[in-house]
Amino acid sequence: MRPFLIYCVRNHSNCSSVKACDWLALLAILLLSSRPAEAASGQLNRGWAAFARSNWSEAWSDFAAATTTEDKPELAAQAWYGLGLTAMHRRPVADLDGARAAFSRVVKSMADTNVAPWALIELGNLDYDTLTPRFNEARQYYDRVLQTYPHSTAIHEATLRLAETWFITADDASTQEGIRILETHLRQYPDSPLAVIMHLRLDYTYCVQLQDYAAALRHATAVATIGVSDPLRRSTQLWHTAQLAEYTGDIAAAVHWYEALLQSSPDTPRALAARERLVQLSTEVKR
Amino acid sequence: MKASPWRAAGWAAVATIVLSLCGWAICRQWQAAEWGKDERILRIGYNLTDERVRQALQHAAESYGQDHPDVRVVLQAVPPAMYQRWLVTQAAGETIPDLVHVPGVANQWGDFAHKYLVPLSDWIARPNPYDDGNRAWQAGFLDHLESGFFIHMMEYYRVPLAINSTRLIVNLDLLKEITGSDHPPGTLAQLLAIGEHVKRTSALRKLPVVNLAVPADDIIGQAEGSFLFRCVNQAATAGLAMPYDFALLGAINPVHNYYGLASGTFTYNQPRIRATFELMRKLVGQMQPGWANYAREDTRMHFLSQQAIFTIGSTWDFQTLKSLAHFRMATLPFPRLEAIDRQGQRVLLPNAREDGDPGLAFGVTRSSRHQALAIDFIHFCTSPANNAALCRELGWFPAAKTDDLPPEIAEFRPDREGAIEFWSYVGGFGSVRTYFIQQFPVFLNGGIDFDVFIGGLAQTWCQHGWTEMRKLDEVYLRGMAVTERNVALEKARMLFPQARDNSETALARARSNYTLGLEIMERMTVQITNRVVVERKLRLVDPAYRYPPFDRSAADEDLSLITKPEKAGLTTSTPQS
Repeated sequence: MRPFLIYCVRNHSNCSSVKACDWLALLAILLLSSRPAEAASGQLNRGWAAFARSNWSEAWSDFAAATTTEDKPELAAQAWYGLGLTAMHRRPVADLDGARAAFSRVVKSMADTNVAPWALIELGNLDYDTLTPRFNEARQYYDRVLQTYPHSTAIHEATLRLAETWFITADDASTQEGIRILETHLRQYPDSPLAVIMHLRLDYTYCVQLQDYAAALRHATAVATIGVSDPLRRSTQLWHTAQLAEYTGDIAAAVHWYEALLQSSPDTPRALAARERLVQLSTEVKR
Repeated sequence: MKASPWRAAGWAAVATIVLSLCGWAICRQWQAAEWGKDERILRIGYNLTDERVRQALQHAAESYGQDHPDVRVVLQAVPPAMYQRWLVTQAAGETIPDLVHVPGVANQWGDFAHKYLVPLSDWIARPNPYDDGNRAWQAGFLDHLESGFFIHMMEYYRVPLAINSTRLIVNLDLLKEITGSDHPPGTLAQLLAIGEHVKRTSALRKLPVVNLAVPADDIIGQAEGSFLFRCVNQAATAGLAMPYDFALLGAINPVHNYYGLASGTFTYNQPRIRATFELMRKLVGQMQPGWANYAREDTRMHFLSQQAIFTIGSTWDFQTLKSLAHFRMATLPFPRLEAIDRQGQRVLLPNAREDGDPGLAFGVTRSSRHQALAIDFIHFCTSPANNAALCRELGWFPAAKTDDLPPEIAEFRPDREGAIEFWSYVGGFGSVRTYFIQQFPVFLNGGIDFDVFIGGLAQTWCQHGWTEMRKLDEVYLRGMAVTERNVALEKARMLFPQARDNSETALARARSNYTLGLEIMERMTVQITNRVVVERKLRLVDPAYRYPPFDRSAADEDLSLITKPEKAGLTTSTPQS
């Protein structure tokens, strides 16, 4: 648009109202020149809105238009990232090659942006989250996030997904590797936004697969203390923690978590059983 | 002087333009008058064509209109068979009403909600302006709006106006005539005793009477989820699954059938499971002949024509029956099971838990030009006072927490406490379920005995159960694609200001939903991985792996269910010949 307007201005010298044309054209150039970032921002805005509504074609067009914002690499990276997600999630048929190309573009050409580590995670997801997963390739992407972008908040999700590539193979050695990854991360980042999910994973892995109830209780207690996000799951998690405490002989903790359950969810399915357990435990304590 | 033809044409053109403008103005006036230019029209669509629903909603709208005279509510009832198609078509054309009834949360309803409904999660955390006090809107509901949460979308999209639960409905006059007492049974043994008495005395009556008239759907239609089986099984086997609850969740998954049977650590041939099925057979033996073919309407007719003392139904059924019956009726919860414990004490076992089915659950549509108004109307309808009034007219149990209930409606309050860790027999949608649905009626009718029926179930589990559970896991994994997409969107909202509106609330919500989405995905993956690991350990006979994982005190299992009907102090009542 800008070159066209400049051409118009230069070639209107014979126009009877050349002054008006010039002013209008100059005004337009000024307005448009000052707007690339704003225009891209608006396009990104529309792109995400279309993505939210699952309007894939519209999202694709808006993100594609915003990719030309080369003078704002963060916005361009966001646009390519949006293209990648659109390609990945479009229905009825996803364009996984297109998604891979878009994310790779961010990783290769916009590696210094904040978007790059998240694009690496999506590349890992493309290898992992399929019917024929390539675990080693996925691990390499997630690992790259941890090595190359250690200060990005993306490291928490990358760690979670890296551990999952080990857990999913469901053999003892892989399970131990997954445990090691999460335990190490939790020691380093105990307050990370995804800590509760890592504790949840470890809780049930120890409880069900390894039948190490003391270890499970440590993580279950962390989950119950931080609190799960799923409103339908809260009382189940409190029951689970109380039961673990009971089985490991920590009666005080069991009582605490049964009472927490009754206080937070008095009409949960487990309320009746929790009250019965409290009665039983207080009888045993008195003995 | 001749008039110029050009001048005449010019005047004609002017006249045409003036007349057109006048016509347009008249049309606009007519439109404004017709459409109520100063009115805001709130359109509500739903799929219940019963006139009571329309009247109740109309009265609620009139009541709302007293403080909002500029609002006109237009109701649109669509026959159930067409409703889903109608919704999607209207939504695609952006002519969908402002509020629509959303009958479910799973599968296609999740997709529908995501595309066409306004997320209500921000609203439910704020107070209802029509409620007293400062509690969150969500806290004012009996089920804390659990029925409105779409888990894969990680959002609340609908709000119920009522909660439906199921009760026994009794013909008190017939009960008194046959047994000499109109005191309803408090235990299952007493219910069965009434049935035995009915059978013994049936020869004395001109018309055959049965104890129970129950639709087939509530006996076998949903396999172990059918109302009658659920009530009996959950009570009779409460706690039985505790040793197998390896995740300590207070519930087991049907795959435990496979684990236990394949590893030889579990058998169906134990007293409480046997008692469950024997009780079901006894109950069915006291029902209308040909019960397997009876739909709800058939059992209603049976009950109304006084050929059955008891039937089952929701508040809806009760209101319908009450309007048609010429006899006294009452409702009661499904009678409790009794057992004798190790000390010889008689104990009442816990009832089956009721979530209650949400009734008239409304969502606000994205294309509505009156979203705030639609939400305000739903606020109005779900305040305790207004919800009680609306449901009193409907004859339904209110979704809002209220004690302002007529006694006969209060009977339908869902009992949200109940049995946990009962045994579950059917998983997936393959051979095991098919076997159960096909053979259970044969067993109930006496065509095969318990050992043959349950032996076949065990065999089907061992042959097909694991494959079916794995297929179900694959379906879950593919379904997780929806959650992945939503996680991606929430992540984008968290990272990029361009993906969200410019408020702290939006950022906080994005962070919260991002964590929620990852949590949901992780839980599903954990469940699937754990199942694979346990199966492997059991198949390979890993000596280090304890199965069942927990020893429970014998007292939990040492319950002798009272299955034989007792003499409940009944007198024989000879009908007038």
